Amino acid sequence: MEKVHVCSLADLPPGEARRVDTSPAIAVFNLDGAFYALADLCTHGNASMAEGYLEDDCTVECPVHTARFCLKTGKALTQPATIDLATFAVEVEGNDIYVLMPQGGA
Amino acid sequence: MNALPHPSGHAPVHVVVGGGQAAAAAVTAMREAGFSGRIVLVGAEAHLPYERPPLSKEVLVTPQAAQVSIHPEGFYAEKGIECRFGDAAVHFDADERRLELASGETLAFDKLLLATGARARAYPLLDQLGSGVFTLRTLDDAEALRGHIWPGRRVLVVGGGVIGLEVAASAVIMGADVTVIERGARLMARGAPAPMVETLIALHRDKGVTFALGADLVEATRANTREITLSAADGRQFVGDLVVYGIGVELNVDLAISAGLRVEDGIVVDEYGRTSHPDIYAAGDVARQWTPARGTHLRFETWANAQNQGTGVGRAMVTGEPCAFEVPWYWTDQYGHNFQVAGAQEADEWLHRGEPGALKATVFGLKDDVVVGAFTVDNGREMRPARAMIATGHRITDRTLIANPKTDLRKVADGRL
Ligand SMILES: Cc1cc2nc3c(=O)[nH]c(=O)nc-3n(C[C@H](O)[C@H](O)[C@H](O)COP(=O)(O)OP(=O)(O)OC[C@H]3O[C@@H](n4cnc5c(N)ncnc54)[C@H](O)[C@@H]3O)c2cc1C
Ligand code: FES
Repeated sequence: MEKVHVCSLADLPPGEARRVDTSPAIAVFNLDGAFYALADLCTHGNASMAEGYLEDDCTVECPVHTARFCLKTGKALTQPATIDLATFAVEVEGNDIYVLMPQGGA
Repeated sequence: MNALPHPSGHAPVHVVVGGGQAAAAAVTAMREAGFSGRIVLVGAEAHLPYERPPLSKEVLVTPQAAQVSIHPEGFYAEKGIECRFGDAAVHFDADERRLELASGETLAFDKLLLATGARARAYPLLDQLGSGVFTLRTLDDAEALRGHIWPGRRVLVVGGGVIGLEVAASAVIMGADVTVIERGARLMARGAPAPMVETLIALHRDKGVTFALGADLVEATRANTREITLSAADGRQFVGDLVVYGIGVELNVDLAISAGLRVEDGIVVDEYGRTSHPDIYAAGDVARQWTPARGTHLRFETWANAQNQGTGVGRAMVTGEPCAFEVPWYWTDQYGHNFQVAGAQEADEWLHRGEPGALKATVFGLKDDVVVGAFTVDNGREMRPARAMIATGHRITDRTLIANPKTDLRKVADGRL
């Protein structure tokens, strides 16, 4: 596992998301203080999930054609997407947020 | 209401005619609503149900990466949905509840859903040219067109609607020289806010597209060199190597008409998706649905309508619950930019929200200070709150607050701001 620094806690307030330019890119979300990380590229096309609409029911909606994905499992919940997003573990250490990337990329 | 014992003793049968977005959404929704009877899906095209939006975009430009199937192949068998792809419904008798297919098979049904969509409207003046003339409605159309566009090709796009503009953008990306020829005085006259059309025109011009508006074509000829010349009534001439036209659609209502259903610019349905015959339903591009929230019948030719209405009607056929009202909404993708439009396309005032000069923006359409419509450019995340504001008829009191792109629209939409 490679540990990648995302940002400080202060830089990712609740209801917001951040994109990490790893390969592949990762989107990290703060849903009311709980952190989740998904592959940033929508499985349906060319959209950054970090630009998506975060829902209270622990899902994120793609900004381009509105497919919804589960933040916890990456599961594609609605059309037009049918392929799930990869998920990544998030760690908070002190005031900083990290994601764990499997060796050799996801 | 799962698997009600049928009066005649057999498990209930739902037959769905269409095989497009609305049909695929409907069969999915029937199973999700707990229907355990027989479902038969009949589609004239010899493909698994697929999405049409990529046809004018990825299927032309990046075919290797294009994904079009709505569901993976195994989905239908897994859900116990019997498929008849490449076979068309040719006749049905609503009272006898029997449907005949071109292959000769007869299907008895308890409920029938017509999701037959539309086909490209023919343009005989252009069709008589024979080869080199294309329309774009099906996957086969897109694949046929793709091989004819390459760098330096002169492509004449006839029809400045959304499909024409998408094809223009894709052809430019593929290196072609593109002229868009439109009979009317403005582009996308059938459905886009005026300031969005301006943004689109500027984008296309910047990429080298030539527009010819108010061009009423009267002649189409082909020289020995295979070069095509289109002539307008006012004398303008357009020369190209191929023509792609998109001048609207013809609804596939023949089956409905011959069965005696009420058809008025679409198969007329109630809020459950029921036609004038209680066992026959319709959804998607082909249906004109009674919409209590608007007090009128409405028909849309959009992916979201096909998906949501297909889902709503499929569910209604099982549960008897009416379809939910959704603010009409669509997207178009051109040159990698995502445009989304919701609600009314006409407004007294357009309130712009975004950094000045930046393409990325959210724009609200207001009538008497009330949000009636909106569009976004590369800013889809704001479409959700914008749609909510349209749905509730949000009244704008502080224009500077809304215009400031730093204001969190989610808070505006739910009343926190
Ligand atoms: C090129 C293109 C690009 C588009 N891009 C966008 C976009 O970017 N955004 C957007 O919101 N919308 C877009 N749309 C519109 C959207 O795709 C349609 O609104 C949607 O496909 C309608 O779905 P439907 O199921 O109602 O009908 P259709 O998709 O037309 O499907 C109907 C199916 O029924 C079949 N059929 C008809 N008659 C019979 C019969 N008798 N027996 C058996 N089968 C039959 C037809 O062959 C067809 O496969 C686009 C459309 C096209 C053509
Ligand atoms: S790109 Fe995400 S749903 Fe299409």
